[in-house]
Amino acid sequence: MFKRNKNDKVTVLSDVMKKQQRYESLVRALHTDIYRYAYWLIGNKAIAEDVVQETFLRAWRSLDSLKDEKAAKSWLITILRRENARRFERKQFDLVDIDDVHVEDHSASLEASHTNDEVRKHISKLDEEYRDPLMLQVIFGFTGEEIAEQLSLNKNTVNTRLFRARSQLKESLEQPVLRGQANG
Amino acid sequence: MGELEFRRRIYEDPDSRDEDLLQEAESNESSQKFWQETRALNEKIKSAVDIPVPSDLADKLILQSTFQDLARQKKRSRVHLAMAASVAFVIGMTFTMWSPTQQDLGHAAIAHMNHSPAEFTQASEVSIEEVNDKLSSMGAQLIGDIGRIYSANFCRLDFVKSLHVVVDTDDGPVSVFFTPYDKDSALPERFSEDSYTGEGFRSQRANVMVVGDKNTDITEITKKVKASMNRA
Repeated sequence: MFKRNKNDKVTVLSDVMKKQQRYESLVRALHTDIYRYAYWLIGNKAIAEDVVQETFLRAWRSLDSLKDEKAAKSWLITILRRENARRFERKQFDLVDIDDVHVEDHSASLEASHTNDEVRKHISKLDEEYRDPLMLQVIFGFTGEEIAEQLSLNKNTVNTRLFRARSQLKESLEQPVLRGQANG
Repeated sequence: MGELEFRRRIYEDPDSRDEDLLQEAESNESSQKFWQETRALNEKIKSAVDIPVPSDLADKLILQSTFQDLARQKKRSRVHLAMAASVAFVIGMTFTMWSPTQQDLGHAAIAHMNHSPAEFTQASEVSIEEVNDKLSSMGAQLIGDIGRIYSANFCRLDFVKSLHVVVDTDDGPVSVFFTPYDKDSALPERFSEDSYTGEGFRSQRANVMVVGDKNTDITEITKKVKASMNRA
């Protein structure tokens, strides 16, 4: 029994190192996109970071179930979305209104038009059903089919939502002053 | 392709490289303009979406996996510790459980004699009824006289409950230990140690040991007790 353990230890060690390497390259390649997607999903940087950490922790634990590195993106997104859903189950008071977050972001750029902050404000005001597919396309470069698969939606539905997301953004960006006055 | 269809598809994916879209843009100036505008909008969206990422995030994510490993190793060593503890516990239990049987009842009886000689001196006569009363708790009984009984007290031979009866004989006081019948317990026929000697036998209801001084002849009294038990 002990003899076998010794041999096992060597294999286990190299397995662990392989796993660690695999994990590290996954983190380096995808953590930026995953974090950004998390932010646009959640609307709060601190919570987004927490959920991303939880996501990668789960990814680490079940890394063996990821057979194809090409599937890593959608695999991580799936974990992230599930983690985010769990967050709502766990703590209702963690709910953050994305608009509230935005008030802070917005304050710095009241006078600028079409700056990043301005565009961010409008993105955050999109309905989640429009924002979510748009983010998958913009951040991860997903095709309509890939988005449809990720969100378990029909491809036509995805295309319609992408269309609406952009037309709403265009509309709101073209009338920033008007909207500002109307809101003020 | 109609202009509406073109616009819809450009809105769906401004970075599309579809041939029919390219053809439409080439053949129609307003379509091309629309595409350029929408691409510009899309670049703005992309730029806005790229919020700054905490610079230490990657390190944190990698570090936490290392912690996970450490935690798992810790857990593993904790499991080993628990296993070792269990083994130690079982060994300990085995020793405590075995020791009374490993040390046979005869020697336990002698050990008891060594530690409680007081029972001899506090002697006063005890009736056979009283003895039987106590013996009945093990389902045994004495029928017939075994001599004058000085004392009859419950004691423990290691972990075995036993009735210690001191009987007067011609050679002096002799101890008779009655323990519940147990065919598995070590009950030597003859045993001796230090200044005591003894004989053991099993009756139907009890394991019995007769212990006396080394100089005492205990065969007579043993016979008596045996006869008295066998008749029961």
